[in-house]
Amino acid sequence: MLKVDDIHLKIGEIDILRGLSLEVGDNQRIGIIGPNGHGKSTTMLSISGMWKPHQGKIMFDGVDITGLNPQKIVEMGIILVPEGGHLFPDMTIYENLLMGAYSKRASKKQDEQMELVLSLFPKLELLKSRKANTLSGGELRMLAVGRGLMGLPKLLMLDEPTLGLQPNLVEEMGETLKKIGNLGTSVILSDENMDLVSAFAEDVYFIENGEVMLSGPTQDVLADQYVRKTYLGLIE
Amino acid sequence: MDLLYLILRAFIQGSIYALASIGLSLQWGVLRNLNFSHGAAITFGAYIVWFSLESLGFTYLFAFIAMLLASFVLGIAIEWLTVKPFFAKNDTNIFIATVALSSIMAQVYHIVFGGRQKFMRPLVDQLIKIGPLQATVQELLTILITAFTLVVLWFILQRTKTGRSIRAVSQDQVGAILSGINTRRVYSTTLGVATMLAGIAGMLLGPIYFVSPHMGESPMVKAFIIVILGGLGSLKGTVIAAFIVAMVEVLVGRYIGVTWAPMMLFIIMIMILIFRPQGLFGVSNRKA
Amino acid sequence: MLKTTDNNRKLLLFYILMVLSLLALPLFIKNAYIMHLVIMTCVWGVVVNNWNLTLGYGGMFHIAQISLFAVGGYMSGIFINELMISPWLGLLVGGIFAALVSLIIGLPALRVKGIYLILLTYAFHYGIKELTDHFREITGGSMGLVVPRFRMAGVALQNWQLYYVILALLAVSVLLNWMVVRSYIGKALMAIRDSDILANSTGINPYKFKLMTFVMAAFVSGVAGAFYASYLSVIGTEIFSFTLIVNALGMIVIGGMGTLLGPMIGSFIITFFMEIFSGLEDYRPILVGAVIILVLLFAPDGLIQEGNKRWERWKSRGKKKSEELEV
Repeated sequence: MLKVDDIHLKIGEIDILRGLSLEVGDNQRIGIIGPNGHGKSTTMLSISGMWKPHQGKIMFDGVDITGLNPQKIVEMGIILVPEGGHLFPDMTIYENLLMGAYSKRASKKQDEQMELVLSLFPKLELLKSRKANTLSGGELRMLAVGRGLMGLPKLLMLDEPTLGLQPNLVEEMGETLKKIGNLGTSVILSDENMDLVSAFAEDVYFIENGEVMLSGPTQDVLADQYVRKTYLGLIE
Repeated sequence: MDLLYLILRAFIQGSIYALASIGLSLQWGVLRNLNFSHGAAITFGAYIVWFSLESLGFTYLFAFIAMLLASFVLGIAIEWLTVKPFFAKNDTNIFIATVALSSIMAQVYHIVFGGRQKFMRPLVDQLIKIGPLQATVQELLTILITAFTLVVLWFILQRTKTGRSIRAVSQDQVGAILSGINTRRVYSTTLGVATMLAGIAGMLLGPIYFVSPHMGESPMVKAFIIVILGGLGSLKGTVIAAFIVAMVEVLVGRYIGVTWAPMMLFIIMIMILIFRPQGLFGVSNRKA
Repeated sequence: MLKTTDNNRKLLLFYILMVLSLLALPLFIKNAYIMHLVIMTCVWGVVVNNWNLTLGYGGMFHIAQISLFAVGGYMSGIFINELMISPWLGLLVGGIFAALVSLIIGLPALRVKGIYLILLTYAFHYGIKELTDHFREITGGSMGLVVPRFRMAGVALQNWQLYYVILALLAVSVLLNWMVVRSYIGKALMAIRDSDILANSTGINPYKFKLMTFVMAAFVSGVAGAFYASYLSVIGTEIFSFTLIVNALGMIVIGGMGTLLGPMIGSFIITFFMEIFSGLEDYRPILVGAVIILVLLFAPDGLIQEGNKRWERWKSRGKKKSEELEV
């Protein structure tokens, strides 16, 4: 459904993406791993239209979406849950979720989706009328993922959903991801936590220096010597 | 009893200030830029109402509606001319362009309507006296119209999709874009709404002072002080600060001397910058 | 390498010629009114030169330069009238008071986000105007303050002599600006202007540099204000009119913001423009405003730079064509 083909992106004078390609099938769960600052977030932001690659192509459901406005891309069902969440601090949880269903496509099914999201995150249901800036770190991540789901995603991209979370909360996020996987949406997950990625993703892309260095079934990539050495820091 | 009368005066003055400054605060929240043509927008509202009443023979209601429509269009034009070309690229240019625009607008009023002050007839020309308190009906209506406008604004911001998108952009721009909000449209809508609010302030100022090409400048200075005092971007803070500033003006004017009021406000502003730069009700800083 | 020194030599020659012709100007201008306009060009040149230093180079949004100019003029005039000091000393008094006032505004406002500086300076501009009205016994209120003219050995100076005075001030101002821009402070300021975060991470203290520049610019503008008051022998509240602010901004934008000599060329253009179109009185502010917006839109680096760019492009296109022909 998503095909990223050889995209290049420069920010200022620095090459961030250098011919990066990846593919996501229907209903597929993809993991992206690699060192920080090597283009994982930028790849997702480019797919969302926040950055415009100056070379290469991004196709979604057979439509060329390279350089489209973020708004149009959201309308097509590609939703990014950005690093740090970018929630609306002065709005209630309920309002934050509503904002997730802002697109025309999603707002039609807003009420059903709200019910679904609140059943996925019973905690959010309880805190519905609290303001986002009063939430704890774990609750904020839940809300961010929930807001993303409100957009009725065909493809959901999660950028570092467990960054800085305590181990028990990471586990909770793992449970949530499992439920999301069952919803029938394609997902791209980028996370530091290898256990989380290996439990969730079917295929993994290892990104370094703005390129895909290695990709394939999760177990194979994670078993690779190079990946283990350079990234996971495991010496055998 | 004297004090009670002064409070009433401060309330009347404060309502107009609130209307004059809340648009600025709204714009700051969304665009993180200030619009120097806000004063000219206040004047615009006053002229449109005056012209509709006197030259077109409209009733007050129609004049009001005409003013709202014209102001909204003006706001979108201001955004298109001074914000859109420079936004996120060069804040200095936005500042200079709005300064230039305000000068152009004031001069256009001068040419079209002449430099002479115009008298705008009040909606109701009557005086009410209750004990030592006295005010014109127009002044009381000013308070009512302000309250009504603020409630409508509050409702729009809290309960409508457009209002929520304005709040979303002012709280987190990236989050808003990723939720599928067309930020461009939010910018022009915000300027349209802010200019409408300025226009209402102009309409209410008209009968109290006179309508003249530069009438909006002095309220804009007050509005600047008010948004600093209230905390940039905080609408609640802005409204409260408007009444505080009016109170200070009225009290200083009564007990120390009218010409000392601006000095007093300037000192308050410096104090605020030193001790509480985020204002009395400062809001969280938007990321990026 | 060779080419740059060649260019530098050309530039140096250009500067020398410019200075010589400026020095010789009174020899050619016999018309008293034109001389007056030239002097006013220099006065505004000093003001916009310093405004440009803070706004264009320093990225400090403010509209106080003319207010500070006015403070210089009024304080000098008041001291001359009340304490009987000489107008020459008044120049210093004007500078000192403008610097003091800028310190009062700058200390709190430069510490926080840029926006507060605009707000504060705007309120200040109107506050000063109101104060001038308030103390009308010593400021003359709306009638204006009459200030004695410059004298030397008891004789009032002629305009061509005063021209050299303001030219000297302009030269000092340009030189100071040049030194600031070239110095570590200037580099730091421009880094701050382009990115606060970057500057912070390199350990530059924006506050200190901004404040120093702001106060220095105020001092020079204050001296110019004192000159203005004594030169015209009157200073009135029309100095606070918004039109003057817009005109001065126009000078900066048209000449080129963030360039050393651009604003002075802008000052020349606007000052003479206002004279040439004096018949169109009512339409002048509209024209100036429209020109500002148009220049911002289509030649954001100012007319000089834009012209230069066009010229270079035109030249290189010619070259390309000739190269193609050779091939």
